[in-house]
Amino acid sequence: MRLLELKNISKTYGSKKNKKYTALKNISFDVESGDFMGIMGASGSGKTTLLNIIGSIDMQTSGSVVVNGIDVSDLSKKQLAAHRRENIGFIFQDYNLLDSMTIEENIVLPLALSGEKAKVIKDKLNALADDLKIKDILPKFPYEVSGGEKQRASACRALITEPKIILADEPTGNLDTASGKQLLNMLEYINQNYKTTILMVTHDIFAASYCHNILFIKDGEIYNHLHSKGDRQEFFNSILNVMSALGGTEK
Amino acid sequence: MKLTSLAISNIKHNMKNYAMYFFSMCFSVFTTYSFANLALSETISESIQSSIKYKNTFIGFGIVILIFVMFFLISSNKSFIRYRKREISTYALFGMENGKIGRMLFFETLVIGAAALIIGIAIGIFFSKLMVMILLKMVLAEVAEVSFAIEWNAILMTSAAYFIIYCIMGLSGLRVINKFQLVDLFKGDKIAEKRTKGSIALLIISAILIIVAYRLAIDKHSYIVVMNMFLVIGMTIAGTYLFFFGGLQKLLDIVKKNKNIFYKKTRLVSVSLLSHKAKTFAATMGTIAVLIASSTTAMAFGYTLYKSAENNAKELNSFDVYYYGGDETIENEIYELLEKNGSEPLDFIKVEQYVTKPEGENFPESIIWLSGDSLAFSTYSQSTFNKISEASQDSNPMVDVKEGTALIAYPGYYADFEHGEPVLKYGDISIKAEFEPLPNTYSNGSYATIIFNDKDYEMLNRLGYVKSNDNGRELSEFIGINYKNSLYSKEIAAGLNEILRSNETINGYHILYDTYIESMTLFGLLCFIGYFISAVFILMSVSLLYFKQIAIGTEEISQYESLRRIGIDKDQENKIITNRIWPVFFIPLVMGLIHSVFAMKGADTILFSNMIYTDGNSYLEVLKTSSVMYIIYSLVYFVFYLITKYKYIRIVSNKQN
Repeated sequence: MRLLELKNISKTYGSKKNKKYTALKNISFDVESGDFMGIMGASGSGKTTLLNIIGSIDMQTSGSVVVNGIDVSDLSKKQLAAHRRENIGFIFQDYNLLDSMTIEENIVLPLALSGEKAKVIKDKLNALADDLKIKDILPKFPYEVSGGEKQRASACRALITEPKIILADEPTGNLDTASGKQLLNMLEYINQNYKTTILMVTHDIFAASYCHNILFIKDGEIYNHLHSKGDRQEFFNSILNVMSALGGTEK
Repeated sequence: MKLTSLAISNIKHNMKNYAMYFFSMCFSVFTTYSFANLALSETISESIQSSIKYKNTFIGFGIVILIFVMFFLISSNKSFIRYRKREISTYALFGMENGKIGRMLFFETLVIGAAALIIGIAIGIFFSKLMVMILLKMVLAEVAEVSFAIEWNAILMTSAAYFIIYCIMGLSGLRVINKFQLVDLFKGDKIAEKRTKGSIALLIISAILIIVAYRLAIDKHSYIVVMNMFLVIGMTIAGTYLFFFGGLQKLLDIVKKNKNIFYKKTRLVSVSLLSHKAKTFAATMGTIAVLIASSTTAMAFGYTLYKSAENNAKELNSFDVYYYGGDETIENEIYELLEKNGSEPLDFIKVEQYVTKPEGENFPESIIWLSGDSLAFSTYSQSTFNKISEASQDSNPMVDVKEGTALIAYPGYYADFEHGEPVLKYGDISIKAEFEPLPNTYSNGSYATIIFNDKDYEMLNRLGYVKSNDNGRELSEFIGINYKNSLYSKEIAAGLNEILRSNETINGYHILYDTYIESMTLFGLLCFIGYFISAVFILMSVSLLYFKQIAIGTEEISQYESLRRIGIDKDQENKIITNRIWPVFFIPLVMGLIHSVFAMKGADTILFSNMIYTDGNSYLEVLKTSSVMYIIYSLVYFVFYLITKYKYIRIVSNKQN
């Protein structure tokens, strides 16, 4: 089933008088339901812009984003906020947790904002926290736990609304190797067990090797689309090759 | 770039942020100058010729204001530095020493302070004539021509006082800077507050303190209220601070524990944000509740006094003019005087005076003089007393005295009959005595007035116990007159004084106008000062909140950014902001107002119940006049709430800088 459709997405910054800067040029691709897709590219290639447009945090200059059959650009601001909360889960490099709230409060936030009943919220939280093994950090504040724990909490928050799609922007960017690996295993687990579609922007080749397929962006355009044949090591090597060709990474 | 030019360019860049700070500084200076000006003004010293020491009153309250202004400026300066943490840390990062940063900030303070001083005094001079006129209008019935004058001494006094305050402020700012660590400065926005769950003990203690204080304040015996006054004030202040230092957090924590209430849409966010900052706000909120309580009480108290000046004068005097003695020529002279000045008599009463000398039995020691035999008391039959009462302007009720009893009109007496039932004795006749807290107005100078039932009165008169002469001296008549325009005619009052003072047959007289002017001067002065101080307090308290709020707003920007990324719409954001800000403003307001309502109850017991005479409850009257002040105060406060909210929204939406 086709979950996400991007048609001719372009994004330019600056008005006509000033010098225009083009971040994305005519990008089109589809994402199937249940996919785990990576988006890679050098710094400034436009990958985060693309993710933000998919997540409706940013607006494209032209083209259309269709999520689950609905054209996002038709939605009002209010509907957009609700769409973002209910259909899309975000995981950010800087965790995006609120310092003033405990981990538990942070996780239930999207559900509470949507007006869900306290009983439903508690049930969902307990089930998810059990499953993702983060129960013991629930009463703590973000500044009391490690980066890895924060990012797992943030993944849990992304998942609690049972979104169609999770968008992860450099989720391992701030983590050490061990906690990065832990998080990737968790994302893989979520993808398999919850059948949640995941789109992940990364420049970490190891992280990318967890994906099923990878879209490479260069100067705002699609450069390559690489599919895994199932073996992670082999996929890792092919990514490495594309990245070398792109000239954006060091071995 | 020199330090001074850097400071000046800083001021230019921070103009918007300085606006509120500057405004409250100007107002403080304006108030100080106005008080000094009023204390020194010659127009006023010529106009207020009563014995009231208004000069000392102004100077005393001026000093009180200065002390508050000093604390306020030091505290807002600290908040302002906190708000500019990022800017200051950048200087530090580029190698500017703390001392230099401190000097630069001190210089900024001086420049801003000097500007505030000049503008504040200029506004003060501009409005000085108006101020004098307002004061005189409140204090006197008629205002003479007021001339414009600049008081150089007032300018000098104000400038000196503020220069000292600025220096103290600069030093305290320097201390704040010196305590900063560079790393803290950069963490500034993200410094995690200690977890606060509050304390159930503090919540209970604060509730007990406040409830006990309220209970003491509403005691019906005025001596108990007076005795406990300082205890009540102390307990209320302590209870208020304890509530904000632990009780409020506990309440929020209880809300947080109840997920059905807590997980309710945006409430989750606003309650967390508030409880996260509750500790930071504790001192400010407590101080504001106390300031609000004191300033609204001052306003309500002054206004109630002022409003009751007329009633009070009428209660004290009963008639527009009354005198003892005289003859018909005097009456005619008075009538002529009234006619000449466009007035006319409204009530006229003339009764004979009688005295009596009973033996008292079983009287409490505090009024043991009743048992002596040398004193004569003014006495009336029930019907005569009621006749006078009816004609008078006071609110004394008609009395109904049963046969065999006597009423002793004696104001302010507490019943304490440990000796048994008090009895008045005339030979073998004994009459039961009852006390009634009536004003002792028509007693011609005796300690109390005794009122008998008409039949008893007639009997005592027949037996010679009620006499029309005292030790052989024939008693004069009592004459009471009410006339039109009595409160507004200085000429009539002067004329009456002339007629009555010079006549030898007059044994004493009272003119309502004189009493009225005296109480107007006193109460008007109190009211005027009350308003002024309240205005300073309200401005200081809301500025404190404003600074604290915007300083914390800059630290909360990232929280709102996170929320927007998760997906909140504009309505939800506005709701979160509103629910985040209003408790900080309105919890102290409500608490302060409730304190004030109880304080006014205490004031009613001590003072107003003896001043305001109504058929019903004098406290209701007090509340009615007070609520005018409460509403005005709340409206002004609300405007500042809106300004703060607007500014906070600008900050967290990143629409400035």
